[in-house]
Amino acid sequence: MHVFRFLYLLILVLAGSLNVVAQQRYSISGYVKDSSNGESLIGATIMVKEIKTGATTNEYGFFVLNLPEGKYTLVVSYIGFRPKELKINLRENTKINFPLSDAALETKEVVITSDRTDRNVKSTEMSRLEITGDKIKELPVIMGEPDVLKAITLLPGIKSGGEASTGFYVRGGGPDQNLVLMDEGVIYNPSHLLGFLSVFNTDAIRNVEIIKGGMPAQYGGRLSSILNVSLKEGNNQKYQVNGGVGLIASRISVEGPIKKGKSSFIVSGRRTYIDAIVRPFLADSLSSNGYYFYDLNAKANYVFSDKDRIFFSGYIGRDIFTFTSPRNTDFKVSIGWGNAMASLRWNHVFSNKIFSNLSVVYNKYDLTNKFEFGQNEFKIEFNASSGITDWNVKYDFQHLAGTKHKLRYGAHYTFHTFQPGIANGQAGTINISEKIASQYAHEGAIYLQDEWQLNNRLTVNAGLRYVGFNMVGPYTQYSFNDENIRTGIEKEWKPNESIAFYHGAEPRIAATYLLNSESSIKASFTQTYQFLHLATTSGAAFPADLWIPSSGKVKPQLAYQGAIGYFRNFKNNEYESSVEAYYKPMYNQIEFKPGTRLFFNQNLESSVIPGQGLSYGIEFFLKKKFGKTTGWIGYTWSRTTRQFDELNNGDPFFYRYDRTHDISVVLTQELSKKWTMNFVFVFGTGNAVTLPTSRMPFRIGFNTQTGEPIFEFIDLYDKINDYRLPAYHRADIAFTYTHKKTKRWESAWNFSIYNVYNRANPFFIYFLPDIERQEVKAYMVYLFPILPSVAWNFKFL
Amino acid sequence: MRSVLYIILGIITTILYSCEKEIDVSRPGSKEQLVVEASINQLLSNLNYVYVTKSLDYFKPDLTVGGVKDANVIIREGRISGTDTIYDGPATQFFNIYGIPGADSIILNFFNNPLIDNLAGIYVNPAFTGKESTPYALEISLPDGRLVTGKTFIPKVIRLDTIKYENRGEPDDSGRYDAFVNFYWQDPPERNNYRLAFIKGSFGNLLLGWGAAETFRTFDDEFLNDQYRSYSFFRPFKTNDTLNLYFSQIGRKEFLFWQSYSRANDSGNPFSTPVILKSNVTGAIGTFTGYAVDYRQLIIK
Repeated sequence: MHVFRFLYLLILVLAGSLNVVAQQRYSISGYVKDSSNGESLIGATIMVKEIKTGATTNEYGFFVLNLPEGKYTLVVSYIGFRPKELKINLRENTKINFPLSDAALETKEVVITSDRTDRNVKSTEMSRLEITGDKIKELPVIMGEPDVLKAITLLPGIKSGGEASTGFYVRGGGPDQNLVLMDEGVIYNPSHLLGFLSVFNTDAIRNVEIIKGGMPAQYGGRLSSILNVSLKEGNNQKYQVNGGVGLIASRISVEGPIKKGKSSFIVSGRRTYIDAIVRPFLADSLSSNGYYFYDLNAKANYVFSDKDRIFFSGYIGRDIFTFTSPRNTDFKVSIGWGNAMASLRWNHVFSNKIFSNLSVVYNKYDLTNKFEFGQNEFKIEFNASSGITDWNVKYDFQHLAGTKHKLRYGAHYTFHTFQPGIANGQAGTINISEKIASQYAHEGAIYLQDEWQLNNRLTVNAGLRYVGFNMVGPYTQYSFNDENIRTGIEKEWKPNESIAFYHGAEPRIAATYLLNSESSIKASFTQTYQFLHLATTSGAAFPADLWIPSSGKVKPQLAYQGAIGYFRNFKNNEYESSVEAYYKPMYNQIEFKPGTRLFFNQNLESSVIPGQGLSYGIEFFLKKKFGKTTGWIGYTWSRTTRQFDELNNGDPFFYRYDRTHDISVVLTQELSKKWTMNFVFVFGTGNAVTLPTSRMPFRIGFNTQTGEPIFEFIDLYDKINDYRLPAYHRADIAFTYTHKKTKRWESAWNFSIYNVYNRANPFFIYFLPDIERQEVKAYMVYLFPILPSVAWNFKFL
Repeated sequence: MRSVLYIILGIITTILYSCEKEIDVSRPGSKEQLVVEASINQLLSNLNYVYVTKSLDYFKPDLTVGGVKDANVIIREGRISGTDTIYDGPATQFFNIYGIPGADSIILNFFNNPLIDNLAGIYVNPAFTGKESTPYALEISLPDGRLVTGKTFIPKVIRLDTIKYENRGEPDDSGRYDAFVNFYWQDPPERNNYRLAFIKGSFGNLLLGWGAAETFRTFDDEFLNDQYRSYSFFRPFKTNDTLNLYFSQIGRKEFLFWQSYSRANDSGNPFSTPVILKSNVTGAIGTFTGYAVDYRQLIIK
């Protein structure tokens, strides 16, 4: 409790004392919006020309400046929008909303020069990258389907899980160590089609932010990264329909004002027709089976006043697989999995200096199976499900305290319900009803951070997040002997009785030292705990993987990350560059004993093997932001290992996604007013994999009729991940043709060629003994040769 | 569940143009390990055997199975005294199959196969019969001093209650129906019963080695204890098929081995992690399993 008291006092002292300093000053606050549709612009810059200082808009498009009384020229800019200048005579607290016009809609070509942002150099943020929904749509795509998660793997320090995979690995962390947020709701499984596409419909996306280090204090709960996807608010000026048709999926969005200028909505849907496309090519025996997914996003907002606005966001998405045996139509399997999320947020401006957001969020991930076989006495029916459900409340304050302090403080509470498995059904006359006890946990955090401009060169962003996690009853823990045999009930907990309680402080500090107006040195240190763990025994993330809480036997994951970087902009901020080095030890990493059954395992905790991880590397990034040619080059050198006492003889081994060298090049070239070319090149050291070292003959027998021997060969393994697959590299190119826009209609064709030079990249390798030639042959399976695709995107106003 | 997801992934992979090509993989040589498959039961003397062989380097072209011919194989009966298990009963030596009169002719074809030219590591003793509720110890000594030991227990037999089948659909061109088979048993009240069912159709019963069974299934009673249990074959049999069912009680360690074996046999897909076999013998990889066998035969009509 001392920590809470300390934080409270600190807020009071900082806010109070700094108000004294700020007595002769006035604030300018407001929102920056897209004038065409009323969408808030995140990260827009408001520069005060006379004193070369400024602010950026937050995730709701809100900004606040604190200036002495006087006359100023405000310049508001945002990439792709025509900057706006406004002269003001500041003699009282002032509210100004800035509607910006899309530069592309202007008849006169806009050349942005003096107002280019230098946020890359001046802000304390490091290890943070952004990409917009529109940029994602421009990139070369596979199967005509743009995807946010594939796009972010083109950024340095973020590695793809494999060919066309949406799995991503940030600075050596696992896929479960990324906090994926959609309008503040947690998405536990961000993949469709077992990882080939993400759950994010690009038509509904406004902005994507990824933080891979130097995590601000308002975020926590995961060790490696925050992927913050902000959805569009909807056009509050006029109705419009957006859509896209790809080779395997199509999407459509409808948006418009509920009350013009005050309120808007957007509803977006997407469905794959991969099932319909594939059916004609499948044998008759498989044609009755189906596999598809869908997404539905809905969002609405209402502006009550300049001080109050509310947002409602909802998402539901599901993968559905059905199978009916062609030989026996009584044999039916149906599996469905997906996320659901609903969030209600209230923005309130307490004074011109304090912006607050209160969020109430519900999110859920679940997997359900239905299995039917046989008839009458032979009938077997089986239903099973597992999942995780959260209720969240978050209250966040952004407080401009004086001219030199920007405070951010708040609290976050989550109630988790873990459902490891419920099964019921019938086998003939036998009833089956089993349930692995649900687990419950309270997770909470309070945080405070202060971005403090010490002088013209040095800015420090210091924060503290204090986190707690309490696994509570009702819960029954069974006792198991050394051979994992259940021997009885060890302990029972009543509702809300504490089972395991963990808490700790997470210091977050980042600093920027400006060397000159174009370059700076930045450093950051963060400590993070993670109380949720993904139970998986597979090399790939599967929908059946379970989220489990920290408990008496499973300790919270812990990571420290230190990073230092040099940031330099060139040619009046047209080019941004950075070099960042990081070092990240991770503790209480978990693996499961080989052969552990995850589903319906009452003693899963005892199968956990604790260990540690280490990741370090250096990332180079060069980005060109303006002009007819834009894009970036990223290179990362890194090393990632894991060490578990019970695995690999206790020796450290390479993490599967350790990638010594990783290069990505993204280039956009405006060829004409109608044609744009996008080019992508990626190179990565091959994944580390475990290969068998020997084989043993077993299960001897022989056929009494033919006399032929029968036995099986079973593969034996020694060292973990001691073999490297061949390097991964490919180039993609896309041409976008934009039709001449009319007042009511816009459309563009995207022609992509994936893997232009037809590189055979390893997906996996397998071995087959050639009995006749007495040799073992290795075969590499690759997914995509050169692969053209086309997509059509449209907007109807 | 996971296997269904593998099927989905396989379908997606196939849909997404998967191709393959041959590549060179260079690996250091592996260390040879002894492999032991020892089986005893109370019912069928032809399924009492010890098979001693060696692991093969995965990447060496020679796939000849190296049976170990000159081992000294002893199985000794034990008894339970209070909480202790004492192995002081009669010892039975198992002989290399070459040494058994008449065995040569039985397995003549067996050894004509060039790939198993050295598959001579099979040790049997037709005089040995296992007993229910009895512990046994295995000792294998090699001339080079290597020693393999293991312990097992033949549990009490739990008999199948019944096997049923149902013909469904229309007959095929040869007049044979698809027949779906269920078998049933009553799980006893006490927990921790483990079973292994070897299933063999198409040709006669097992002469030597569980490997002649097409498949096997493992069952435990972690969730369905003290209940009337059933198992349904998803794959239909056909009219006139013969089904041989070896429904066996086994111990927990033996069960864990066979369960891990089953997973290892299924671990060839690229998304699974390697499975480490849970051997219940020391000095080698493998198992010494005592089976309490209930054998049934069903002819589909």
